[in-house]
Amino acid sequence: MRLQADNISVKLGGRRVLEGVGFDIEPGQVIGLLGPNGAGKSTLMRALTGQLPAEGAMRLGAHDLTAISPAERARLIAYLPQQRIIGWRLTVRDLVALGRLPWRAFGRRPDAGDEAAIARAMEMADVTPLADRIATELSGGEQARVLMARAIAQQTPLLIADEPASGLDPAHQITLMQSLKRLAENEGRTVLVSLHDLTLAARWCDRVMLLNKGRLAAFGTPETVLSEAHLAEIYGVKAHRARDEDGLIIAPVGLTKSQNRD
Amino acid sequence: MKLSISLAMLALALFILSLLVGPAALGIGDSIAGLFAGGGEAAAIIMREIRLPRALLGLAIGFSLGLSGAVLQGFLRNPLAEPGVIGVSSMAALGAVAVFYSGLAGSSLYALPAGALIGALAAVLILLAIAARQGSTLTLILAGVALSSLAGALTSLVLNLSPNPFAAYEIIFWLLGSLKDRSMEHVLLALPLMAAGWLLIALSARAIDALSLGEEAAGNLGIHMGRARFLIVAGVALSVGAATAVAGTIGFIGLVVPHLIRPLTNRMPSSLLLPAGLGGAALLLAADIAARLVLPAGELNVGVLTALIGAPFFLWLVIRARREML
Amino acid sequence: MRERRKRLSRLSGLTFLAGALLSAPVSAAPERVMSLNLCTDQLAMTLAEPEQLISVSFLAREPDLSMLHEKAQDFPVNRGLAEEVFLEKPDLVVTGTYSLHNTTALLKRLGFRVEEFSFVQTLDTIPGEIRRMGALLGQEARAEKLAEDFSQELDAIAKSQCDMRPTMIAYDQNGVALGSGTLADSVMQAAGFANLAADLGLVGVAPFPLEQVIAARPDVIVTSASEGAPTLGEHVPRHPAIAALPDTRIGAFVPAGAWSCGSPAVIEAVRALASLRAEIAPCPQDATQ
Repeated sequence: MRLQADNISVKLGGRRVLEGVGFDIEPGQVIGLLGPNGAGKSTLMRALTGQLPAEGAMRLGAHDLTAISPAERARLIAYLPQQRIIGWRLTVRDLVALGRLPWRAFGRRPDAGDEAAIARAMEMADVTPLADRIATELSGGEQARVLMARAIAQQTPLLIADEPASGLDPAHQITLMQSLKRLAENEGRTVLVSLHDLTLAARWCDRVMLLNKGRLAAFGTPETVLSEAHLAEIYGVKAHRARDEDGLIIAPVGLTKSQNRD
Repeated sequence: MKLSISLAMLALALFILSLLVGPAALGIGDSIAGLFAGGGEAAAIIMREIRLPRALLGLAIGFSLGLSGAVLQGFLRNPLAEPGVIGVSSMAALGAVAVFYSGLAGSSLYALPAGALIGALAAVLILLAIAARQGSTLTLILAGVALSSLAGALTSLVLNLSPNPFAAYEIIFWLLGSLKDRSMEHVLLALPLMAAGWLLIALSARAIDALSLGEEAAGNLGIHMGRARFLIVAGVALSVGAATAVAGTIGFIGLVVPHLIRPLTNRMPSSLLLPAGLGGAALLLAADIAARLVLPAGELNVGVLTALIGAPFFLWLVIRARREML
Repeated sequence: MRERRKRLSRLSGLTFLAGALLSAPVSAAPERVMSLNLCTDQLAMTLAEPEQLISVSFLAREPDLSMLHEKAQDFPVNRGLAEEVFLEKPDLVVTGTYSLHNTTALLKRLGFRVEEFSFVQTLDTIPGEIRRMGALLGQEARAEKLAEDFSQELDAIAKSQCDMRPTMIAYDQNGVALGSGTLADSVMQAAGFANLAADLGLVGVAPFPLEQVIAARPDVIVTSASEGAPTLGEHVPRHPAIAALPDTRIGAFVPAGAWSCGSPAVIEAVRALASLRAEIAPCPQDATQ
């Protein structure tokens, strides 16, 4: 489904932390959400997932996101919080099955459709071999993929993940991005993912959104948005850009002289 | 489901055994005949007016405590949460004591649940305000310790202030509860309130499952957090408040039972609810039978027994929790 | 609870009749007497000249416990603290042996004259106790008359008994019964009742299971009359199981406080129960009256 936002603003404690953000995203893409700390990435995600009251218009397909119930929203948007919380010694399969909650009537056991969705989600996130393991006993990278599988199992047209790659080693970062990419390409879902690693964003995202001080500074292909000028202006860093056969490599190598960040 | 059935059978067996234990030497035949016979036979009066209410309260109060422990642990994602440990029971006792001994409602027993519900509600709300947001195990337990001590001291104060010199001696009952000499009046008083509490808690089953992944994720899974919080607060206050109103503070059942039973489930918080309730009923009935057998004439308060079992268990959990949380 | 009851109900009296002789005053009667105990309160208020008694214990004003609670309004009350005694400087302190043990020892060390009255076990010791208190207060004549009247009335009541001995249990707050060796036990016997708790082996004031009360099916259950602030304990004698006994008479029967202490007023408890006995199980001579 197509995700459209028009002039979204969020006020927190009287301060505007997001102002006039608008975009229009075709389905089947991985969208990277970038920007320095405090730029408003998490705020935008929370506004889209209904956790913060926002002004402006937000639509997903035919649904007005500002006027739907939590139960309806749960069938449209899956949200993967940055904090990885696994409360009990659940098996991976049981944990992923939690993603089916919005689709199950009260007191009903998972049916065949649920089981298929769970199996498919575990496949996508590459955690099928871990199905019977206890989730709390897995490594950080495995846990991140299991939680991703939970969000995928929710089978929503839009998946929003808040810094899913943070704290992962390079190999795990790449497998995680691969799963997101598969989800968008094979299933036509929209994936909105906030990232700090510029190379990761450049290579795996179809398009990137660059936020700065609560405003949308740029939106487009990684090639155009992650320009040296943008990186200098918004992140305050000098970055090396290089290229190999698979795409762009962006390495921040120092601070710009004029930068005066908080 | 198989687990729930086994535990239900266990609770039922202990319920029947509870009916057969007592200082009046009634044979099994007399007991059963007494339960169903009418009239003024001593056996009939003993069975229907003394042992039946006691066994019913053991069943219902045990169920309430086990269930409340399980739902609080699930809701707060905290394996040490329990109505006794976090001060809900003590606050309920304080509420009951404050309303009853002040004589506001004469010496009517109805004053007890009224006061206890207010006390329990206040406790749950205070604890949620302090501890639910950040979800730290330590904060919750410390807040509970403070609340328990305060409620215990105030209970003692209220009892000492009573113009009736006998009131002060009832502190033991309120701190370490008992099912001794309860009557059908107590059952009718407490059971409907407890049952309402069970219902509310049952309705929160999805919420506590989703909360395994934290509040943010639960919210996104379609859980209305405000509603879930209301269900659990009201459910625990009703069931623990009503239980405490008629039996005093009976601690640790809600701690011990969910822990013993959790490994037998898939550890999903909702799948623990029914077994924990049934297990709580079985444990309280067993403790109450033991209380009658250990000291047949004087009779130990059942709260003493549950504390003797529960406190070392709690200590062991704390030590283990340092190594491996949850 | 149990301790308190024990204290209240048994706290004065005389184990050795010799006590009366030993403490017989040689000098003039004491002018400032302080009573620290509910039961010595009863005796002192009955025997002393009003100006002789400078204070009684605060429990003396409790309607549930003290027969003479109205008279106690005329006297200042104390809480049995050594400091209170010290400030008042009485020339005689009367108290129980059991309740204020530490206070008693302290007062003796401070040089006060303290006379202790031990538990009353039975009705038989009461006349001796009345005489002892009379001697201590210099009111021998008054005491002698009271003791004599008491013994005579007791004898008269005893003579009117026969083999009809209905069973009785005194069932108190929190499920405590009065067994053998208690004042209440001797009152029941004197009034022509069999004390079921004592017959079933209960000694002193002790918890008695509700189930055994029901199983024993006594003819009469005496519960304490309570009008004070509410307690849970008072609900036990009011348990529905007791009310369900079809042929049992349940009530206070004994005037409030009448058998909590061994004082002349105990006779009122004996009288009340004797007339109850005559009503529910008449002896042949009752019928001819």
